[in-house]
Amino acid sequence: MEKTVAETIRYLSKKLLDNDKGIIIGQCLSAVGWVQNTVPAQKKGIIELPMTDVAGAGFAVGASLANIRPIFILRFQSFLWLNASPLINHAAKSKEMFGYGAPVFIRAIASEGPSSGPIHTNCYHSPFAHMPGLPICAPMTPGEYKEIWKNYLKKDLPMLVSEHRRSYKEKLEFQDKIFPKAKLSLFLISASRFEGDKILKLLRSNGIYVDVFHILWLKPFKFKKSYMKSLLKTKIGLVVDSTYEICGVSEHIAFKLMHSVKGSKVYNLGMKDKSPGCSPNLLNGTPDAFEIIKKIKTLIK
Amino acid sequence: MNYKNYNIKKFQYNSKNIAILKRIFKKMVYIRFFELNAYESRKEDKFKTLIYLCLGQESIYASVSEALKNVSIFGQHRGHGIYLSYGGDPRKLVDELIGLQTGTNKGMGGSPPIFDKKIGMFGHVGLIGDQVPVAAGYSLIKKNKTVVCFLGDGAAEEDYVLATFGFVKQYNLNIIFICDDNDLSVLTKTKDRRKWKLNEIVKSFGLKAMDITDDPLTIYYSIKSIKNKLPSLINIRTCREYWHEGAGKDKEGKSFWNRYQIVRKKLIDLKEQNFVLQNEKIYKNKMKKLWKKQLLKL
Repeated sequence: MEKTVAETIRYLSKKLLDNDKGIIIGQCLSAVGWVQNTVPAQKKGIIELPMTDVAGAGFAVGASLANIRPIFILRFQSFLWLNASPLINHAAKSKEMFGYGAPVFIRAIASEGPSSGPIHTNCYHSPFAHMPGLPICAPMTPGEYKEIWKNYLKKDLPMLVSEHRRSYKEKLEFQDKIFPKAKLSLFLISASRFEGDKILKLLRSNGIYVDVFHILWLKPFKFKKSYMKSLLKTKIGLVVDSTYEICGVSEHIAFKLMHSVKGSKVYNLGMKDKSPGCSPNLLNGTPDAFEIIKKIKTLIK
Repeated sequence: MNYKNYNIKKFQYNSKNIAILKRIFKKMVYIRFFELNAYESRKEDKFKTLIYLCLGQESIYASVSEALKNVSIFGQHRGHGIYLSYGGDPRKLVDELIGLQTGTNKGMGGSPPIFDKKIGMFGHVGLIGDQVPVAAGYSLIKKNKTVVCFLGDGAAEEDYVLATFGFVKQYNLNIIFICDDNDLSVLTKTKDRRKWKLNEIVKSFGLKAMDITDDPLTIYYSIKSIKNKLPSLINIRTCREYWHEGAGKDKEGKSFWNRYQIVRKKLIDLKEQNFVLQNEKIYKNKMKKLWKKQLLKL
């Protein structure tokens, strides 16, 4: 039977712990369903941290220097702010500064909706992409999770994994979709990827076709030939992410794509530049299919 | 307050203790002449990297390295003495300080990141106290290895450092913290920064703690008495002779005491004048030659 994303994370983590090759370290790991069932329900290899953000990340970095693979869990991506320093100043720079790696696997979990509020809503991978030495990915499928895990185990570098709760129950794998008549190239990141099929279906009913690409690696951004081919055809692109629209990864990727294909214009879409609230009129989440379609229609006019 | 004799222990200067003191003093001489050459070269603008001299604090590193061997070491920005007293290659240290690719860190950062895995020493990123939780995380996994973590009295005030004391007790880690308490954060005195004493705070987390002056035998025997009761902390009162960073003195004669001169005098009183003069001569020439040779690479 195929595994969901949550089951895949739990399976890979358990294998690591049972082989004495790593630990899972974080706050409140055993509480509330073992982090949405992504953590194996066992004592072996599980380190419950006191509520000591900043120091907590330091403990994880220190453990990574002792020839093991620590999985450091942040139950909300907002905790990245507090834990940033040891991750970006020590783990990410260790290889360059000291010649030895600090391979911490950072699981930062995004959530959104009325129960997330102004601080905990969605992803904060963008500011971390600014710093050297920290690869960043946003896997949304079981297959992608296996791929990034393999990549992590191959190297002695830290990795920031920008997860989204919306993916945990999913079993599907995404495929890029390319159409000869496409009028726009759409690049989707994080939870926005779950809107892809709906967008295609709704647009097709209006006779509009767009190419859809699923982005896994945010840093380094892996530029595929198919992106270039599509942009050469459509000349218009749109990058969508589950985080703020301005000054972030989507804007950066849009810039890179635009400068790689002469004559193309690539835009980006994300959360509005205001803090999200719990009340329905204050929600500010991942752009949904309708918002994305609205933007596409203005761009292809 | 003058902490020159603060909680100092009285010792019988028998042959055993004299031998220990001589081994420690030899390392102090080594560190001192290395640092004096660094000071002179930097003063003459021969290089411009970040440099944190430990002149005045030599007895701490010399004594700790004598009392604790075969350990994993986490130092901080003022770490030349740690590196040298544990056997790090002095040529690589000079090269790092003068910004060469052949340095400990390939010229990456001057004093702060120096390390040597061969002697069990990890590098410091340059943010004060960063090494404290990192050392604890390392100790969490390497339970059979004693970890020595150096910090300063300024670093002790970092929230993540205080949180670490609770964590090491929670997991009863095999770690000893050595606080080089020079009473200064750059130039701000401890009394202007906090009302609490580090050893008292640490005790409240359940660790063993001591607060002593930088007398070598006091440090040596304090460590011996506490090393089987880890996690623990020893706060060591000391005097930084030179600037926080770079080459210069804040004010002549500002230090309350000069432990190097005190130990030197003690050994001479113990009729060890030849040992003192001979080692001073050896290291004075050795370090001068070393610095001269490495500086030619620039």
